[in-house]
Amino acid sequence: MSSKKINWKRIDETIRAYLGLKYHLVGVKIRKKPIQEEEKHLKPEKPLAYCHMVRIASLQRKSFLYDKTDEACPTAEFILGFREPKYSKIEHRIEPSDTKSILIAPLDRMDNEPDVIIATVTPKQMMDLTTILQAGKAELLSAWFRGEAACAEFTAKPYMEHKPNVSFLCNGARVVYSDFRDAEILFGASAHTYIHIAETMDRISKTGGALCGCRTSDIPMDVINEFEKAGFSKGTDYFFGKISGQNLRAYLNKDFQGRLKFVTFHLPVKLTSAEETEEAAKKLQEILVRPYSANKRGYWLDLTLTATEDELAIDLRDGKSIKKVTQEFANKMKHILDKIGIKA
Amino acid sequence: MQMRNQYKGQLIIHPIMTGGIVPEEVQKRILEEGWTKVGYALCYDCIEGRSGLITKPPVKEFLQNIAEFFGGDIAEHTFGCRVAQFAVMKAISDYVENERPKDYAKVVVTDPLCHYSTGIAAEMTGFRMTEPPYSGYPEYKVEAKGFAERIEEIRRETGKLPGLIVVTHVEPYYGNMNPVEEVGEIAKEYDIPYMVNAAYTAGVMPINMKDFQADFLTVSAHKSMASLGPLGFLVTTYEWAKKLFKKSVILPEWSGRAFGKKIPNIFGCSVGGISLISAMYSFPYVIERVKKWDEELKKVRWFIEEMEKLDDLMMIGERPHRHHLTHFETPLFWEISKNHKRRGFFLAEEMIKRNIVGLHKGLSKHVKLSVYGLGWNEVRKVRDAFYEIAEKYVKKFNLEYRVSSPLAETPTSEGEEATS
Repeated sequence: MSSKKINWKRIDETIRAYLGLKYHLVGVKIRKKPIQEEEKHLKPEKPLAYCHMVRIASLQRKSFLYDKTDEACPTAEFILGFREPKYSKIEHRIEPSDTKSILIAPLDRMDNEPDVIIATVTPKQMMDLTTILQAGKAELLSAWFRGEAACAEFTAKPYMEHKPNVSFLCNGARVVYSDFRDAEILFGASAHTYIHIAETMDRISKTGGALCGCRTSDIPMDVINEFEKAGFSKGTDYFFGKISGQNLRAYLNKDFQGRLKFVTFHLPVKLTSAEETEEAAKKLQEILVRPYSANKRGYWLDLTLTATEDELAIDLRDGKSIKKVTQEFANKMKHILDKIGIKA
Repeated sequence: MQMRNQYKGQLIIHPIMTGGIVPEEVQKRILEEGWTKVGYALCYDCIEGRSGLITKPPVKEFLQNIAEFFGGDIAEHTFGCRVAQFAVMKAISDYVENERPKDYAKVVVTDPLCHYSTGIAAEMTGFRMTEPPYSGYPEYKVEAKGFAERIEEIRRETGKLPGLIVVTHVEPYYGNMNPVEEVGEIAKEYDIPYMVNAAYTAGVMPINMKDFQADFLTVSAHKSMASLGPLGFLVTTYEWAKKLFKKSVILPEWSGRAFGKKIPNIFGCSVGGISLISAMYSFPYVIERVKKWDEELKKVRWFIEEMEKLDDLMMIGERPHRHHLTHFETPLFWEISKNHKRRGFFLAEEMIKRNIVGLHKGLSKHVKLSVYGLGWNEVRKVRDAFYEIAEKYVKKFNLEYRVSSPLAETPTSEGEEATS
C-alpha cells in the first residue's frame, strides 16, 4: 500500500475515538541516515530517553528527530540499534546496529509511513484492542515482555518481526525517565497492523445492526451462520428461506427468562379470503397433532411446528441438521395441504 | 459547504415522518410572518421566564389545550418525546429514592418493542429495565398479563414493586398497538406509576390518557403532530404534576441567584422557537385529522392487501392492522438485491427515482413504511412503484417470482379524482 494514500490523521482519530484514548498515537521511523542540517530543529534540547520522547509526543504532540548523542538511556542505545552490544546478548533489538537517527512524532503529523506505531492504553483499552486485532483471525495476540528494557518490547520486536506486542514497561519508563503511570501500558505494532485495526473499527462502527441501528436480536452468530448454510437468510429476529419450494420461516422462541427454548418452523400460506382460511384451519386442526398446528391470521394460514431442539432432533449449530429438519417439515406440510386440496 | 434538500417535492413514506408532515399553509404562514428570522422567536414577550408560560403568543393556553386534547390536566412542551420520557423517569427515580424507597424498586417494566429512547431514558436515570415477552414471529404481540407476571417477579426478587410501567401505545417496529388499557388496569391495581408513550399515535388518532388510566403521556410533535422538530409534549395529571414539573430550588452559594420558574426535569425552559410555533399553527389541523382516522386505517389496510399480492411479501405484525406503520418482509426484493449491483440500496433508490422517499436505504429483506396522510391516488402510486420495481427486476434477473397480479383500483375520498 502506498504511504502517500494513507491518511494517518484519520487512522489516529479512528482508533482514539473507538478506544477512548487519552493520548495520541505515536509513529516511529528508524532511519539509516543522519540528521540533516535542516532537520536539526527537531532534536531535543537535552538528552532524553527514547521512551520519554514517546510519552511527550503522545501527550504534548511534539515531534523529535534524534541520534545517539541525544539518547539518555544506555540500554535504549543497544535496543534501538545505535550501538552494537559487545559483552552481552540482548534479545529483541534492532539489527543490524546501523540506526543513525530516529523520528518520533504524533501519528497525525507523520508524512511517511512509520516503521512502528505506539499506543498508550489502559488494560481495558488493551482488551478492546485485542478483540479488534483478532477479528476474523484464528491466531491470538501473544505478548512477550520481561519488565525491563521495555523499548525492546514496544519498538524493537514489532520492528524486527512485524508482529504486534504489548509492553508493561520497565523501571526506566515508569520511574527513572518517563513517568508512565501505573495504569498505562504500551502497544507497539507495524503501520500495516494499525491500518487493519482502523479499518476493522470503521467496519464495526458502520454495521451496528439493522433498522434504526439498534440490535434486533441476540441470536448467537454461529446459529445465524448455520441457518445461512441451510439456505435461510436472517430477518429481524427470525430466518426466512425457500426450502423444497416452500416459503419457510424459523423463529427461536424465548422463555419468560429470555432463554432460547423452542424452535418454531412456520409455513405461511396465503389464501383468497379470511373465510377460506378459517375453513382450511378447521380442517387442518382435525388432522394435525401437536407439536404441529394450524392457525388463521386474516387470509393467511399459518402452519407451524414448535418444539425443543431435542424433540426436533435438530442441532442449531449444524447447517445440515437444520436443512434436514426443515425439508422434512416442508414436505410434510405440502403433503398435508395436498390432502385438503390447497396448493402452497 | 454546499447543501440542498434533494428530496424536496417527493412523496414521503417514512413512518417516522408522515405524521409529522407540516401542512403547506402552515409552512407558508411561518415564512410569511417572519418566524424564521431568529432561533427563539417566541421569547420577545416572555415575562415570566419560561416558554411554557408565555401568553403572547398564547403558548400557555396552547399547552392547556394540548393537555385537554389528550385527556390530561397539565402539559409542558419538551425538546422531543425522549426528553418527556426522561423527565418522567427522573421524577419517578427521585420519588422512588426519596419518598417511597421501601415500596418501590428502581426497576421499569417496559414493552419489549419500545423505542430505543425509552431504554436510554431508563439508562440515564439509573433504572433497571425489564420486559414481558412478545409472541414472536409473525405477529409479535404483547399481552398485558406479561406485565403482571414481571411485576410479581420483581416483587419476589426485591420485596418491592417496580417503580414505573411504560407501554408504547403503538410500537415502532411492527406498528402493533399494545394493550394500554389492560396494562393501565394492572398499574392501578398494583399502584405503580404508569406512562404511555404515544409518540406514534398522539396526533394521528384519537387518544385520551384517561382511557389508559395513565399518569403520564409522552408525545412526539414532529412524529405525529404535523410539526417541525424537535418537539414533544409531556401530559400528566395534577397529582403527578407537582413532582414532575417541580420548580428549581437550587441556590448558588455566592451570587444568591435563584431560578424558581424553571423546571429542572425539562431542562429549565423548553423550546421557544419555530418547532413550537409550527405545532401551534398545526394544532387545529391535527384536531380535525384525528377525526378521520378510520379513513386512514382503510387506506393502510387496502395497501397491505395490495402489497401482499406480490409474491412472497407479507406484512409482519398484528392483523387487522391498527396503525399506519407497516412492516413487510420482502424476500422478493432480497433476491433482487443479491443480483443487483447496488445490492440492498437498489430498492430505496428505485423508489426515489419514482419520487417516493422514505425507505431505509440498504434494506431489502424488510421494509417499513407509512401511507398516512396520502391521498388514495398517492397510495396507489406507492403500490404501483413497488410492483414496477418487482416486475422490472424479476424479468431482468429471470427470478422465479410472480408479480403480475391484477391490481385493484383505489377507492376515492371526498374531493379526489377516481383512479383507473
